[in-house]
Amino acid sequence: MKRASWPLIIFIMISLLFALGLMLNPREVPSPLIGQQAPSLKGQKLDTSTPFHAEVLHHQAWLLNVWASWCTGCLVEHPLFKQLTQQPGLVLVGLNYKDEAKAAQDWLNLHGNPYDYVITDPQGRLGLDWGVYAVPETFLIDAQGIVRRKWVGALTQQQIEQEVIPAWQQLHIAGVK
Amino acid sequence: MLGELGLFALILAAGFAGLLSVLSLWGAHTAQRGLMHLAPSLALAMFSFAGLSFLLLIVAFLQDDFSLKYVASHSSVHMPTLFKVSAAWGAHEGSLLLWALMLTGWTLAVAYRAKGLTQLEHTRILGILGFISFGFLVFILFTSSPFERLLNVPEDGLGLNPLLQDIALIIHPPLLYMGYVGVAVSFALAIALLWQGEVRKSALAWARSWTLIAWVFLTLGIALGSWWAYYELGWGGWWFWDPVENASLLPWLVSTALIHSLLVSEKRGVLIGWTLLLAILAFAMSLIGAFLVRSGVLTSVHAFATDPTRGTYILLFLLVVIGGALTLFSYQAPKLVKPKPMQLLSKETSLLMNNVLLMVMAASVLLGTLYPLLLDALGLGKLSVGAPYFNAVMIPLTIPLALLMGIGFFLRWKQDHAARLTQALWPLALFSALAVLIGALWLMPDLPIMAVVGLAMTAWVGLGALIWLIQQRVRSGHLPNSALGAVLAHSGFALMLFGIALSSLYGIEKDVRLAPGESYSLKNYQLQFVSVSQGAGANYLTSQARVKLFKDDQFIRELQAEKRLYIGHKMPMTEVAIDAGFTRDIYVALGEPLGDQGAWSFRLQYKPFLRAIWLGALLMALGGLIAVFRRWQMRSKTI
Amino acid sequence: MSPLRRKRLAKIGLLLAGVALAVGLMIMAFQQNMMFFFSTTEVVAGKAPLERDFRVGGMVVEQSVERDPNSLLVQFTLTDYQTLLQVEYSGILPDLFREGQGIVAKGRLNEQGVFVATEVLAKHDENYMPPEVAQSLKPQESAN
Repeated sequence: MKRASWPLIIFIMISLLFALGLMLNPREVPSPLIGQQAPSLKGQKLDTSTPFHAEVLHHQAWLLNVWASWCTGCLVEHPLFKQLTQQPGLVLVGLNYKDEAKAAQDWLNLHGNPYDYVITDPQGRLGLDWGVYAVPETFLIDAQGIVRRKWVGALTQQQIEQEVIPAWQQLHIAGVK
Repeated sequence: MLGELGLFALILAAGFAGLLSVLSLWGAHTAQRGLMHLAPSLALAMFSFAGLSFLLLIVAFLQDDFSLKYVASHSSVHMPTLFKVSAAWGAHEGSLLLWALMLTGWTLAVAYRAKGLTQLEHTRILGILGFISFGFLVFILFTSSPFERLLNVPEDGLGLNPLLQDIALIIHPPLLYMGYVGVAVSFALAIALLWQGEVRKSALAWARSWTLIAWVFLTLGIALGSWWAYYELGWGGWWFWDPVENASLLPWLVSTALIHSLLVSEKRGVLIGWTLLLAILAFAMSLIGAFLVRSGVLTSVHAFATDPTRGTYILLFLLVVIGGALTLFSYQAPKLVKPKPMQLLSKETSLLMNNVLLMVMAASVLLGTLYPLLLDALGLGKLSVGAPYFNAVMIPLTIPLALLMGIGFFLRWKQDHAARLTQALWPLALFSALAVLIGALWLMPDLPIMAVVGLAMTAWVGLGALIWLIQQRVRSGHLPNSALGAVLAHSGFALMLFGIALSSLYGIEKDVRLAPGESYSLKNYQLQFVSVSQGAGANYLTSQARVKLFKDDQFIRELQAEKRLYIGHKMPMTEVAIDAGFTRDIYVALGEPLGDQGAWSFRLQYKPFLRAIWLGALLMALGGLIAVFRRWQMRSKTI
Repeated sequence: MSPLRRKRLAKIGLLLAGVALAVGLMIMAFQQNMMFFFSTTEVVAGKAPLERDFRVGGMVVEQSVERDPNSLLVQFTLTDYQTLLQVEYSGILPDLFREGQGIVAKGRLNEQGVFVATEVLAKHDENYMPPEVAQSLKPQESAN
């Protein structure tokens, strides 16, 4: 081995480590909820302050998006939800996490409301049940009420097109049958 | 509209960078003078469009154009104008654009300063810099464009993180980036030299000035960042061995080694291969730093959503640029290097040894930074490597480094003799011993062994430089032209060692609970907590504590430490109160209320000679600047 | 052996000795200063070492923070949504420490199974922050 080649070899080894590190994706926080029965989602609706219970969603697959008016990532993913609402039959529930009702309502008025239901969680109690680390987070729940997927952080166009919608469609079709 | 214009300018800049790269390298390859003459104009066009693009981004910030996602996420109507401008480089996209702009700026400067280079070398350097600029501009365009539009335009933006709304943070990143990209110049030269298979002395001299300038920027940038962390973050430390800090320290260590190795190669024509390797590695460290900071691989516990495509892109770029450079090195270096014997007792050998020490330091910092990633990748668990590791490695390595630094000035080139050297060194030894003795008496009776070591290193390095300077002055009647900068830089390093040793060994840090009227003593200083009052600033609520500072029961001044809650950011911020002085800093940070009797928790610190650290860094940078100017003066005289 | 060769050998020897020393230092430093990271479940299951410091991460359970009004002692409960762990800390908590917030604590277990922290690091606020902001925030999150 030539002496002058050593730097190259060490560099390649470090690069391999970097590549591994990138694939490792330590940013993904595994949710213990996946494959488990979804925690109950009892709360008040933001607009009417009337009680809401997730049982109304039984027998269909639905999405839960945890958001807040003070959250940067929510603002980023928000415009992309138009694509979700265009899917016939897709139910998108918003969980308004640790927020003030007025701020949340103003935010929705300003940016548009893609949610079929918005449930308030001013103390973050529901969030704790669902294992919410931070906002935004998005869950996919199947017709049997089992959590199937979880996305952490702001959803991207690509994720919505290639992950969220296909995964939901699959469950949706299975649920309808 | 301006946003699209900015994007368009960015595309044009990338286009010119591509042209500069292809035409220059092709022109140099085929020896077409016409093409080679084009390079400077292309560099000018590339810089102008990158500059225009950046300017338009700043205009977008000033106009509160929240239709741009980047502006909406990092600015707000209520922010002061100054911070609106600085928010332009306050986050990933904009800071990357600043990186690229500075790279094109360096390229432009290189384009019009070719003295000492052949036209072939000069054109190749420009071509390589053009290629690197192209890589960065394309990276911005595809993964991190600051000109991306939002579908729904918000009425107000989210505002810049309050931590970043600070004067030091306006200038800290640009300084640091100037350093990061500055090392690209010596990298480009190294590639050009390896390519042509011949190394000329004047080319190395040319590289030394550029490396020095980059090094000065790095030094200032790191020092400023450390100062900011000290007064703004509320924990009173000045260095945390955080991956982000390490990312800036790595290129600094390698370019410090490079400056010294260039000196040897220029003067003696030896260590050519080593010098070229260091030039490649300095830039490699700067790119690796960018990768670590921007890909998110190292921040698993702290940061979440990142875009993995960014990391992938930088890694690919790293592989192409540095992998390519090192492949070229492994083929060409053996042809270039004519082994020339070096004597063990000579200036060049001592500089080589210092180089090795600096590189070992760099390697251990890199290892400590990457180790958590390595173990995670192998599935061996998650761990962190903290300050104790870095201290345990760096301190023992600094001792021989300091020893060699003191001797270095007195050693002769080529071949020195032990008898002559001992004779030359005895004044230094005598004065150092005296200085350590005085210092030790002054510190008695509390005298840990490391304090003696710290004093000895300070005296040896600092006095070594000064005594040598005086001897030269006496002998030749005037100050030595070339080494004045070096003397200053070494004295700065000595001052820094002094500050580090004394502030860490004799510093006092206490978390205490104080009720109103209660006092706490730090050495011969007393701090008396008066009261906490609530108030509000422009965009924050604040709890303000009044603390009276006494020295030997003599009232000095009142300090006001604050805890602020910025509106819109659910995050409290500690505004510390510091009574600063060269000999000591008194530092008061307000914690939280305890109980309902009006008591609060405080973090109190007494740090002797903390300022010597930053003052030393400033001196080092000044030394570097003087060295550059002296060289330019000398060159213009000889021509 | 020619003098030149001997000198060369001496030089290489010196270099090797230096590198060996450095490597030795590094290994020693690693062994003493490596800090493993566990979840609360792993800690309660006894997977964490008893005789040395380690780091544990989790969320601060709502309404679990209790401050002693007369000292700097703070007690709170950490959870990974499966297991609870009692934590004790004396000192000033970082700015970002709040209930319902993810934190990392450094310290060791005492005989009662309480984690005695010597350092508490708070994660970023509840936004998923762009990494560069999180990066710039990182140093401040470390509390000693």
